[in-house]
Amino acid sequence: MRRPKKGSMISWAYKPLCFAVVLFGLFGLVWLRSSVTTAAYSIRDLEDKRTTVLKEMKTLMAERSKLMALSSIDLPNQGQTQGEKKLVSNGYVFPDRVKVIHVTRTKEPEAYKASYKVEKKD
Amino acid sequence: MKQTWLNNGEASRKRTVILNTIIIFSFIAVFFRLADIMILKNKFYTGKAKSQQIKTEDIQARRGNIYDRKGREIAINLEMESLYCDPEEAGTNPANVKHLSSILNVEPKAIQAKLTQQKRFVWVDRKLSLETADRVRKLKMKGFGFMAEAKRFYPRGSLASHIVGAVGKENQPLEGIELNYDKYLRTSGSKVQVARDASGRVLSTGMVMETKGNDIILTIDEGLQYIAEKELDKAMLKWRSVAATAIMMDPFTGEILALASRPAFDLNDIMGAVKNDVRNRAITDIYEPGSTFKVVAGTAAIEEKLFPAGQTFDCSRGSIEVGGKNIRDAHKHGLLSFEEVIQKSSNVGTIMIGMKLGKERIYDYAKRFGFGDRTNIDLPGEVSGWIRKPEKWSATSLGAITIGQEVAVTPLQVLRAYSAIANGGYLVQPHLVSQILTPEGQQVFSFSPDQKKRIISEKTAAAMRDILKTVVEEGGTATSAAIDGNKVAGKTGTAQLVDQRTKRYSKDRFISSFVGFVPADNPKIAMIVVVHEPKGQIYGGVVAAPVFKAVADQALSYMNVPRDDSSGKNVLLVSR
Repeated sequence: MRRPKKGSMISWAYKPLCFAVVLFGLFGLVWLRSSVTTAAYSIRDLEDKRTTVLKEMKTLMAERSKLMALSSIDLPNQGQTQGEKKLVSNGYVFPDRVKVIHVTRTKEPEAYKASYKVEKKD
Repeated sequence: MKQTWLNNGEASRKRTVILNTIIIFSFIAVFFRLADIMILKNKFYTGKAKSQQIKTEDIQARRGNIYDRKGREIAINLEMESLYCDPEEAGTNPANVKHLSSILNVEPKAIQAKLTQQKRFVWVDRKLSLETADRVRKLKMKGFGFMAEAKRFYPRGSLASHIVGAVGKENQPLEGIELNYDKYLRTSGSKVQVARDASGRVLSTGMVMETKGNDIILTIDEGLQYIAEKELDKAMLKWRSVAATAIMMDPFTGEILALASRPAFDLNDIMGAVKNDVRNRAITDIYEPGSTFKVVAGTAAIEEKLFPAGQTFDCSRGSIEVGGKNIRDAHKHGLLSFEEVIQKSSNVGTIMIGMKLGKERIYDYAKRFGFGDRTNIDLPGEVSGWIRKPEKWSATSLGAITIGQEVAVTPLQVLRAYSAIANGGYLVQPHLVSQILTPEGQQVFSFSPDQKKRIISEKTAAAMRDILKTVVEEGGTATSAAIDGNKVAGKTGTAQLVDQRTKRYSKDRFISSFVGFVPADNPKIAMIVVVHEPKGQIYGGVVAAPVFKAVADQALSYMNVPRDDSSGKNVLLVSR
């Protein structure tokens, strides 16, 4: 280790500088440790908030699930009236099977191609 | 002067010695005290520090969810908060009682009673909504606290109530899938220690404070279940019947697509349900199947090649005597072919077939079709029904059993037997759970059927399918089950109930049923409809067959099953 020459400015400040570095180091360590602890507390606060939000999310998802139930969708349009007559049309409509396009798949290992098969008229 | 200086120096030295001695003794005292605290009383102070700095928190245990085959939620958990108090600390402040009473909607007396108990922990109210809990929390009452709890919630209300079952207040399983698969759905909670500071703030542990059981994927489809339940409700209303059941199954795999039983109950309020509503009639109620059982004798006769083509049966008398007992047809039929005996559901013709078969073969085929044995569906409480061994049959039994009397079956057993005809001769395993997944999505269970059990030949099954198609055609007993666009195959059943007072068949209490499959030549669904004690009409073809038609019609549309007459039309060819 090189030591500064006697009488120079650095020589004069050498010991206090070392002392200050050690002192700052110690304080730095304490400060760092307390910061980590504070961060851990903050993380816990955020975790608590997340838990609360997740609880609310679960409640909302349950509500959505209840609203999306077919029994809810298929309810008659209650409250809507046309003159004296109450409309009782269902909210759920099944597809017309005549208009359904059926998909068949061939087994040849080629790239996918799609074509509409037109019925031949005699 | 010099003397004075010396005296002063001596005094100063003495003071220094005294001071040093005091300091040294003080340090020694501090040292011993520290040694006492840190070494001798180490355990005591460590425990005291821990009790102040360490807090035990619960890792909440939540039941797994239940989904339908398309991933729609059938059973989930809601996060609730339960209010507790320490009566000693809380006291009986009248203002607190008044506030709590109005928020919780509970009589003030009831709250007062809880606050005067000689305990350190008392539940004030369980499973409060988050909003209600917030309102209570804002009161900032001393001695009260909250604990997180889960409440089982069924978003679809009473839908599939007999399948799903329910849980009690403590989340204990009571019925259905909840009970049968409890070991998969349940998980045990645990505790974890966390550090806290003087103000009660808690350090993060980085752990997820919740553990969840496995999720269950059912084979049922919410849409099909809803259709079946809706049509059953309509039929119950129309025929003022006491109960009704419908089961829809994939005849090739045994997957239950819908299982409805009426009356039903609200899954979110099972405590409010009466016992009769909770009964799953599809598997727990036995009944005499009546004409739907004729398929056993018919199939056995085809498989055993007993009758040549063109064989006719003289049913012109309209009755036949078996063991001294006269069994009649509902209408006189005249000469009937083998196919017409089934089509017109002639008791006389079927008994003639049964007599040729003999009791051993009738019994053998009934057992092959699974009658008298549990189907082993994955629901609790299934009964096996019964069919007596041939040696215990009376003189009239051959005739009675051939036409579906003196045997007891469940609707599911009948459906499974008809599924064997639909799928080419295999007895399938009905089941409700397709797979079980961990919360991370890993599969822990997947239904795999035992080796396929062939009970009749493909040829026999095809021949019986053709006969069952005629039942729904002109001249058959179930023309009201016919569906526009697809051929239906099936059989009606009308069975008398036994009067418990007279021990004879009742003249006004019947069970009407229809069991069949559609499309007849490439079945997508097999279904049974059973209506208990309809009023006004009794025949399966009038009461149950229209329900089958209504459900099947909508189900085929829902499933996008092609019409029989659309073969070659509207086809999008996809090749690669």
